[in-house]
This record gives sequence, C-alpha cells and structure tokens, in this order.
Amino acid sequence: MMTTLTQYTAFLLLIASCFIPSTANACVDTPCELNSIAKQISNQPQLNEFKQLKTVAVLTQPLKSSGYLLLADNDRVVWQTQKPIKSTTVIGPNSFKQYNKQDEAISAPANSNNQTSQLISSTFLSILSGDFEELNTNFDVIAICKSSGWSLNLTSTHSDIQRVIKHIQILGNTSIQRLTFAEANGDITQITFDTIDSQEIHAQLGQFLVD
Amino acid sequence: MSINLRFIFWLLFFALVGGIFYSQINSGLKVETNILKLLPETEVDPFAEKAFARFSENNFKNVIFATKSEQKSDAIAGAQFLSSKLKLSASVHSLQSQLSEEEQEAVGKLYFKHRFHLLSNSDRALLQNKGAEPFTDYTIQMVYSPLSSQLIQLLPQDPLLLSYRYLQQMSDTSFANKSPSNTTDHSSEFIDDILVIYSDGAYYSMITATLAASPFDSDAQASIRQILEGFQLNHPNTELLFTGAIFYAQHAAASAKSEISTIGLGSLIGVILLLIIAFRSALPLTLTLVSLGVGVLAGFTAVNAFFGSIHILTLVFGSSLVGVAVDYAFHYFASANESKRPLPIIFGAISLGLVSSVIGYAALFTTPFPGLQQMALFCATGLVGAYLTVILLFDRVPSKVQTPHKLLLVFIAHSRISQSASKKPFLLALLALPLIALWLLMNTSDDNDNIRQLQSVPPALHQQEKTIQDLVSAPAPNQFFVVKGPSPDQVLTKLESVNDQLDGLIAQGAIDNFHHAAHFVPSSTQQESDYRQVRSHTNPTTLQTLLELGLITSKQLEKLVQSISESQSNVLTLKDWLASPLGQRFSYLWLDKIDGEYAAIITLHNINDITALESLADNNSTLYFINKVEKVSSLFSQYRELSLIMLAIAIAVIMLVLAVRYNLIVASLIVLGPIIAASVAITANIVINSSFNLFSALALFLVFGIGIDYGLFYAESKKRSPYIYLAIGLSAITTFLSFGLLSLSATPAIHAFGLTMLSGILTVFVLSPILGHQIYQAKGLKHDSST
Repeated sequence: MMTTLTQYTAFLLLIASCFIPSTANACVDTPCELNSIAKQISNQPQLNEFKQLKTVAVLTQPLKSSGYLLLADNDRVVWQTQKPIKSTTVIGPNSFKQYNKQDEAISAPANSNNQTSQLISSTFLSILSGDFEELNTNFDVIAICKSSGWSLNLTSTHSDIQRVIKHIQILGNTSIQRLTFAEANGDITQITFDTIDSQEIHAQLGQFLVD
Repeated sequence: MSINLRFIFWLLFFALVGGIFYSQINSGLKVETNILKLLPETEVDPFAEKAFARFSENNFKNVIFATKSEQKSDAIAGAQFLSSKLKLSASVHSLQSQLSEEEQEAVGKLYFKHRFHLLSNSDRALLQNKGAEPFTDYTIQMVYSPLSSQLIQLLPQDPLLLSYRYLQQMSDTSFANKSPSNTTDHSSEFIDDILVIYSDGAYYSMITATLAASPFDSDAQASIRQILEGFQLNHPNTELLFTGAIFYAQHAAASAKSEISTIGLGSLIGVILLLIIAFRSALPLTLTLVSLGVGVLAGFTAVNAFFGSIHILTLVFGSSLVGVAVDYAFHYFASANESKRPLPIIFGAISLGLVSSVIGYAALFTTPFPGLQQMALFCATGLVGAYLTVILLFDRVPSKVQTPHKLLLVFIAHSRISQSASKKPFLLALLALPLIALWLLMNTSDDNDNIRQLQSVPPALHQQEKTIQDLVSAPAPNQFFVVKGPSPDQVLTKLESVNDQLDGLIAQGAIDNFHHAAHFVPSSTQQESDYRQVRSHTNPTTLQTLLELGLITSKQLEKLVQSISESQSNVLTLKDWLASPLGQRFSYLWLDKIDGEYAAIITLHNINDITALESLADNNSTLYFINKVEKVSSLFSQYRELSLIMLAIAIAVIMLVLAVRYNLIVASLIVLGPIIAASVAITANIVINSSFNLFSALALFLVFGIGIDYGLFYAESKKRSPYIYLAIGLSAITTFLSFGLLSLSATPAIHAFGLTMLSGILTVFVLSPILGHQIYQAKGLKHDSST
C-alpha cells in the first residue's frame, strides 16, 4: 500500500519513454535488438494526448480517463488528467509534485525508503534513459519487429517487482503508440497516445514547470 | 603483645580475607568495564536517572557499520558479506532490516482497522476547513493513476483513503532520511535491504546490528573483532567504518588491561630490584611481597564485597598501590639495619602514616562517586592489609639486614646537600609556590572536566563515529527529552501537547528531527475527536463524486456508515502498536513503567543548539531534558571543587592531630612539604596539560598521604638516623616508578593522576630532608653527625 505512490511516479516515467520517436523510419528493416530500438528513442515530441482504459476486477465498469502529457527539457514531464477530474502531476529526476483540480499543490511526498518502489522506479528510469542493459537484470525482454512497427515485451524476473507488475508491453512504430500494463492481481491498464500540436495546451501544461 | 600472638592474629586476618576471597571466586568474580558504572547518579530526579539507564541499555547494544568504496558494487558486496557473517554470530541478536512484506502488511492491517480514528495533523486541519472534497479528489487522482488497483480495493471500506494517508504521513515523518545540510551531493536508496548512501564521491552501505549481550561483554567484543578482521582480509579495497559502544568499551578494556600489567608488573619488578639491592637477602624480599600480596588481596576483596564487583579502572589505579604499600616494609627493613627489633622504632611513624592516609581516603570515600569510592576503599583496605602484615607477621620471621654502605652514602649525600638548602629565606621563598598555583587555578578554564577523561578515545574511532552520524541521522544517544504521566494515554497526550514547540525547534534549526510514540499512536482523546470528524464527513453528500464515478456503490456506502458507527470504541491502543512490527522497531521510544509512572522519550536528531533545548525544558513542565555528557561534566567540576575543599579539611584535621602530638611548629613543618608539593603538581598539570581536572585533584590526596608520611618519619625519630633517608629514598623511588608508569596511561584521567603524583612526590622527596632538618631543630635534636 505504501508503495503505490512511488509506483505511480515510476509509471509516469515509463510513459515518458513511450514518446521517444525514432529519427530512422520505424524499425522495419533494422535488426531487432534492444540497442537499435534504444537508439531510435532520442528525440521526443513535446505534447501528447493520452487515453487510459483501466480494467479492474473489483469494479463492474472499466475506468476511463484522458488527458495530456508534456515532455519538457531537464527530464521533466507534466502528466495532466482532464477527465473525469482534472489533476496534474509534475515529475523530475528529484522531484514529484501533485496539483488538485484548482491547480493547488497538494502534499504527497514520495516515499523513498521502500525497497520495492525503488526497484520499480529504477526499472522505469532505465527504460526512460534507454539503458536496456540494466533492464535485463530484472526483466526478460523480448523485442519483436514487424513491418508495421516494433514491440517490447517485458516480464519481471525480480520477486519484488513481480508482486506488483507481471507484464509490460510497449508498442510503437515511428513513436510509441500503446502501452499495456498487467498488474499482478490481473488488473490491466491500457494507455494509447497521440501526438498533438496545440500552443494553448502546451502553455497551460508549461505553467506547472515554472517554479 | 607477644610475637606468636601477633602471628596468630595475622593468620586469622589472612584466613578471613582469604576465606572471603575464596567464596567470591566461587560465586564468580565480576570485573566491570562500563565507565558509566563509575559515575554518580547525575540526575537529581531518580526517575530521570532510571529513564536514562533504560534508554542507554538499549542504545548501547546498537552497532552501525558502513562499508565505503568508490564503486557502488564493492560497497554493497562488502555489506552483504558483513551482514551474512553478523547473522551467523551468536553475539549479534539481530540486524536491523526494513519491514518485510508480511510485516508491512501487518502494520497496514493494524492501521486500516483503526482508520476512522486516525488523522494526521495536516489531514485534520484539511477536513476541518475544507471538508471531504480534497480527500475525494485525491482518491480519484490516485485511482486513475496507472498502478492503483490495490488502492481501488480499499475504496468500499475507506473511500477517503484515510488509512493510506495516515501510513504515508507516518512513514514520511519517521523513516525519512534527511540528508545532512553540509553536503550537497547526497542520495540514498535501498538495495536488497541494505541502505546505500552516496555522499561526497563515495558509496556507503549501512548495516545496523543489535548485540545479544552487553557491549562490555568480553566474548561479544572478541567475536565482533574477529568478524571485522575477517572482513578486512576478504575486502582489502573496501574501507570499513563502524561505531557503537562496544568498540569504545573494547578499546578501554584492552588499554586498561595492558596498563594494569605494565603498571603492576613494572612497579613490582622495581620493588624486587630495590629490595635485592638495598637489603641483600631473600627474606626481606619475601616478606615485603607477602605484605603487598595481602594488601592487594584485602583491597580487592573489600571492594568486591562492598560493591558486588570491581571496576577495571579501580584495578588500574589500585595497581599503583604497590608503590605506597611497600613503604611500611621499607621502613621496617631500613630500621632493621640498626636494630634487631625494628618495629618499636617505626611503629609510631607507620601507624600515624596509615592514619593520615586513611583520613585522606575516608574524605575521598564520602564523595557520592562510585568510582572514587571504589578506589578509596581499595587503597585504604590495601594499606591496612600491608600495614597489618608488617606489624603482625614481620617480627615472627627475624631477618638480618645489611644495607650496602655505598647505597647508604648516596642517600646521606642527598640529605647533606639538602641541609645546606635548609635556610629560612629558602623556606620563605617556597611559600610563593602555593600562591602561583592558586593564581593558575583561578585562571584556567575547567572545560576539561569531562566524561571523556575516563575513557581514552582513539581518534580514528571518533572520526568514524562522526562520519557515520553525518550519513544517517541517528538519534542522539545522550540527549533526549523524557515525558511522564500516570497512564500511557496521559503520556501520549503530553507528547502531543509539545509537538508545536518541537516543530519550532526544527524551524529554528536547533534540531533536524524528533520522534516520539504519539507519532504512531495518538492519544485516545485525539482519536475520539478525529473519529467524530470522520464520521460526520462520511455520507452520500460528501461522497457524491465517488458514487457518480462508480468507485463506491450506495449499498457499500450504507454498509460503511454502519461500520463506522459500530466502531466508535475501536481506538488504536499503545499495547497493540507495541506488539506490531513497527512498535517493535520503535520500542525504545516507550520506557513503560518507572517508579509507578509511565514514561516515554522524545529522541532528537542532529542537535545543533543545546541551549534551545534546555530553555524549552526549563519553560515547559512536561519536558525533562536529559543531557548526560553535560551533567557529568558539570558534576566533575563540582566534585573537583568539593574534593579540594575536602582536602583542605583533611589537612586541617591532620594538622590538629599533629599539633596535639608534637607542637604547632613541627606540625606546620610536616604539612608544609605536601602543600608545596601540591602546588608544584598543580602548576605542572596546568603547564603540561593546560588543565587541572578532578583526577589531578584526587591525586593530591595521595600526595598528601605520602608527603605527611615522610615528615612523620623525621618527627617520630628519637635520633637522627641515616636509615630514615634510606627508607624515604626507597619509598620515593617505588612511588615514582608506579606513578610514573601511571602517567603513561592512555586514559586521560589516569594520565593526569599519574602526572600529579609524579611531580608531587618528587617535590616531597626533594623537600623532605630540608624540612626534616627543620623538624629536628624544632625538636631539639643535634646536628647530623652520623657516619
């Protein structure tokens, strides 16, 4: 229970990595190795729109939400849920801030002392930084390349991670398009991404980066 | 009394001491090495004293290790190796670990069970001012985050996530590793249950262990030492830092043991050599050793019988007793040169000598200072044992003694030279020395009256302690607040009442953090009031958004409202918390019952401003500030002053006794020697150590005892005899030897003691023939014409 917040943090970091585009045209013709995919993730589109569908066993209806994601300089990201209720989270390498629907900061400091959450954080940080070698220590990574795009299938091998995450799938072609996330208890979260271009939204999210 | 009767008395005395000693051996001799056992109770309030004892008993068992390397993997590998060895060791009770998965779950369940009664300070204010809305918003934010399924399961029973919020807040205040403000480059993480800290270019892996036995247990010391040596062999490139009471105790015990053997053996060899040279016969040697043996045995037995154990520093100090106790035998055999029955000649002198020494030690014994009492008792009974052996046994074994003429000539020459100095102007000039000493005393700071005087602290160990304390914010071991009350709940209420002031201390930078039990278990009053708030904010209106989003059904809500009203009395109790894994880890915060009252402590982390803490306690009757180091230091200053006053009183009493027996002039001359000697010793201490501390003051007692002995030998003699010079000379040499060795001690207190003795006795020795000459004159004895 105490780990959830950091897992959340870690997850958002993972999402940030999904938008890393490839300068080379997809990976159709490239050998399917982690390194080559990692090389493609070097530039990122600034603004994205996301849709999240969460299938939870204890709820009869799936939870739907949507919002925006801004990838800023200095490895900072702004994750803003618009529906069903507005909330904003700003994540940096050493910071984690949350804002409520009135854009007021709410106190929710990350718990840095939990081993499991740290493991998960560092896992996603290594995805973000494209450090796939590191990923191999805690996950079995299978990379599949087709003409339509590539996919990464991560299965956790570390017992602490296994207790929370069973499986992660990242799909992409010119950029990461879909992320599927299977929790240990069977709940599934699917997030799809679309690059958008809106000065207005960009500015709105950018305000959260001003200290 | 006939020789045989005396011999029977001696046998009885010896049998008595030996019998007691034998029974002590059978019931197990205990040598104490804990320096705190030497200290008097520093707290006026016995409650606070017990609170400190209970806290330090736990705290003393903690050991912190840090493996340091520039390579992260090396630091971790080192820590893993070390922790596997520590886990196997019988001396280690447990390694401190993060809460395991099961334990986290148990803690989570406990707090979940009492969720309607628990609000953090900030949540309480939030609920009061803004109602349930910020809580439901946060719930939604959390639920819609990608990894939240565990939280979603909670919603029907805890839609405001109260249990989650309380646990989160608690772990923030309690487990947060605050990086020290002086390092900018600092981070920490857990890797396989090992805390790894990056600081100033190096990685440190931390392991905290709790010992199974007392840190003063020599077996535990040996086994930990073995583990450390094994580590160094296996990881030559990884630096190992460690801190804990056990390492200081081990160092103190080892240096004390080597000092006992150096000092005891050194003075013993000196005594044996002197006896062989001076008396050229095996019998005096044997008899003297018997008198020393009986003396040491008597002292040892008496201390053990009276205190139940003997402290190792008492033994260090006591081993120098050899140099004093041997005096009686020297006088006996020196006189044996000129008489077949030497005892009547020296009886008066050594008896008075014993009385004056015992007066000095009795004064020392009256101080409420267990360490000093032990040393005083050891020395007084030791001297009595040696004295009784001389007067009861020595005549039974008549021995012929022939001191070499050449040796005698040396001492006579010394006396001749001294005589020429025995002029009034010189004696008057000597009187300037006490004035100089007094002036120096007034102008020397007394910040050296410190508990560290009792323990030699190797700089390396001290440095490691500092490094480790900078890395992890460990609670200060010697400074904390105590709060007490008639019931556990009242103690918790009091703890809550000081939260604001303690937060103020953090805000003003006096401390970095504090911990107390009410962080984990609020008082029942607080819980009941929080319950009323939670109850009034849980209804279909306040939870409307959650109902609309389908995160909770109205049926579930109905059930929830009912379960809230049913759990009104379901308060989290201290007892339940203490039994939980969290309570077990923080059990040191709760001292439980002391003298019929309940007590808890507030630990303080990284203290920067002691006076702020003191003034808070002064202005707040609930807080009792315990500051052991400061208390001991001020106590030492107090006792230093007290012991100097006691010494002055003892001198006055001795002076009175002497004036009655002789006359005022002779009495003054006898006392003048030790007074000048004390002045020289004080001056030497201040010049060499730039301080005059309690332990130097205590040594003055011995300087006086011995100095007066020397004067008495002159005053008691019926005629001028070269054998007095012999006796005093031999006695002075052995005293130099034993106390000179004492001044080499690594323990600052013993070093100061030895230095005082060395300079004091040297002065007495040089002065004694000069003053002796004056004493002769005052008594009307003719000029020295012998030999």
